Amino acid sequence: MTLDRSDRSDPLEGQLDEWRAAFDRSFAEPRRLGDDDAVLDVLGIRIAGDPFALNLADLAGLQPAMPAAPYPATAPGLLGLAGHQGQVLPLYDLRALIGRGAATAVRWWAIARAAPLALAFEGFDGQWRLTPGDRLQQSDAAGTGWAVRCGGALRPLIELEGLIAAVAGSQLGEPSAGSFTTTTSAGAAGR
Amino acid sequence: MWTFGRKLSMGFALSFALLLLIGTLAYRGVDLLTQTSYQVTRTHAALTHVEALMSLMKDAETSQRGYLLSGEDPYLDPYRHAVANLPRQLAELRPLIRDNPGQQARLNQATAMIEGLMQLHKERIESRRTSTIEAAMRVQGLGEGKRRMDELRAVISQMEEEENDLLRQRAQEVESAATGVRMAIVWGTVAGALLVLAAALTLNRALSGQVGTAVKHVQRSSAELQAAANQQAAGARETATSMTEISTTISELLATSRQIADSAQRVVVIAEQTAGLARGGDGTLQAARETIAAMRRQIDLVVDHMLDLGRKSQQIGVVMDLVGELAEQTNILAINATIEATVAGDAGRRFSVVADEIRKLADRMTASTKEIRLQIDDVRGAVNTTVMATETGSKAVDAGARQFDDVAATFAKIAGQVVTTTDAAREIELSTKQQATAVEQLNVALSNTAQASRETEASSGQTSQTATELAEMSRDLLRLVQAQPT
Repeated sequence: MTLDRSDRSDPLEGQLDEWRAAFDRSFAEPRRLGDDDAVLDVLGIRIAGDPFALNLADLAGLQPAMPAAPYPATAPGLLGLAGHQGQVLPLYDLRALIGRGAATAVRWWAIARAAPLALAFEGFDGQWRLTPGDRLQQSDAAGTGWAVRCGGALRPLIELEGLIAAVAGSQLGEPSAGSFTTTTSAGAAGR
Repeated sequence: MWTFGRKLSMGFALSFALLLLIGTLAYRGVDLLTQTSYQVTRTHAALTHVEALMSLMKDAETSQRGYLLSGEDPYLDPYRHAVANLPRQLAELRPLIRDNPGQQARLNQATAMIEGLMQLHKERIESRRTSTIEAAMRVQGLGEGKRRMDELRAVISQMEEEENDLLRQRAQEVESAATGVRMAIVWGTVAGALLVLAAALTLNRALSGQVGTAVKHVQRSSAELQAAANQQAAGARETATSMTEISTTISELLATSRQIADSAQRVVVIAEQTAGLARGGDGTLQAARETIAAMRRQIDLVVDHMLDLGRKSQQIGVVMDLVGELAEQTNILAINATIEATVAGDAGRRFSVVADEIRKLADRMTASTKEIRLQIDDVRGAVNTTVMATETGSKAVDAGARQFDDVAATFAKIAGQVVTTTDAAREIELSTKQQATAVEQLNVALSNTAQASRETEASSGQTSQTATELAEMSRDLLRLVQAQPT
């Protein structure tokens, strides 16, 4: 056990030193404000066991899911009403909106910035700050046209504007959300 | 079957009863004769007194007549004698006829007549004394005296006749009693003679029969007794010889018993030494058992510490959950801060950088928490393994302690068995000594028995001689009883 501890303490101390150095370096290095235009912040999520990504610029907030207040409506993907910073928002199932069926266990809520509504999804893997080189066009990804490389793995990027437009369209009696696209505009990437 | 003595007793008893009967009958006859003789004597006395009365009255009358005629006083002497004796005679006669009322009545009558006659005589005498014979003869008529005297004679005659009848009656009674006595004597004598004859015949037959048979039995028994005495003498000789041989064997047995006693004593010494060694082994086992118990306590202490370590690892896991939760919340806050910075546009870019650093720290904290959780899981697994290994060791120690207990119990049993062996050896030693003593006593007893056998042999010779003499005596007795040689 003593040998085991010594074997493990050396890499840990090295990592500790590395973290301390990185922390100190964050104060010492100059700010690259000019480069931040090309920075893309994405949120890695998990829907039906598969990894996806959301553009952080499309969101107004992230919070752990709570029981939704039931709402008597038959809109597709509508789970009920959610409260966020004093606002009452309609809560939609993101998995239903991207056409993968109803979610079984919802743990997170993402608040959309483009429209007053909340999206519920199942898993949250983390946040990455990406460079433009990490955004790839991917034609074979299901329902999306773009993918991002997060930690060495590709994640389809979900385009929230199209989904929100589809939801707004279904509320106005337009065709269902099954025809949404995940096109990413350059303007959205630039925000 | 009547015995000889019983027959003899019965003969004597019958003779005694017959003699008693004859004696009783004779005594009663003699008694009756004696009483009748007394009564005859009394009747004779009564007759004598009656005759004396009559004689006195005759003397008085004759005397008063003589005096009347002569006037001389000496003629009055018979009269005076009668006056003096008449009362005595009457007084003596009265008890003699007391049992006969008829005679008493006649005596009363005669007494009155006698008094009347004596009064008449007295008056005549007085008259003659005071006057002359002629005057007296005139005054007193002589015919009256004669008449009264005749009446008295008649009464006296009746009394005499009555007494004579009594004499005849008593003579008949005497004859009857004498006849009875004679009959008793004659028939008693005849019956006694017959009884003695029958007893003699019976006793003779019994003597010649039963006693003869018994004497023959005595003869045969004497012969058998002689043979038995001879056999007994031979057996006694053999017994004496055997006793001598047995005495020799017992002497050898005595020597063997003493050797056994010496061996038993050596066994006792060895057993006591073994008991001491067993006690020493028991002490060593006790020390080893205490060592095992201390080891057991140390193992229990280690188990307690390991369990405590496991509990504290679990508490650390709970704390790590708290830290992980804080890291996740920090991460969410950092993401929201990034979102807010993005919303703020250019003004929020610096804040976005800080928020990204905060998010990185939260990520590192989450990663470190996961690493610590893995370490804690490793520690808990090691603790569980150690606890299980320690419990296995504890069970092994318990098994070793139980085996030590078994060994100690076996040593205790061995010590107990050794003590038992010591006691048994002591008992063997004691018993062998007692056996030797008993064998010595037995040797003495056998010597006495041999001596007794020799004495028995001698007394058997004496018995044989006595049996011979007894046979000869029985032959003599048989000759005496049966009067003929057998």
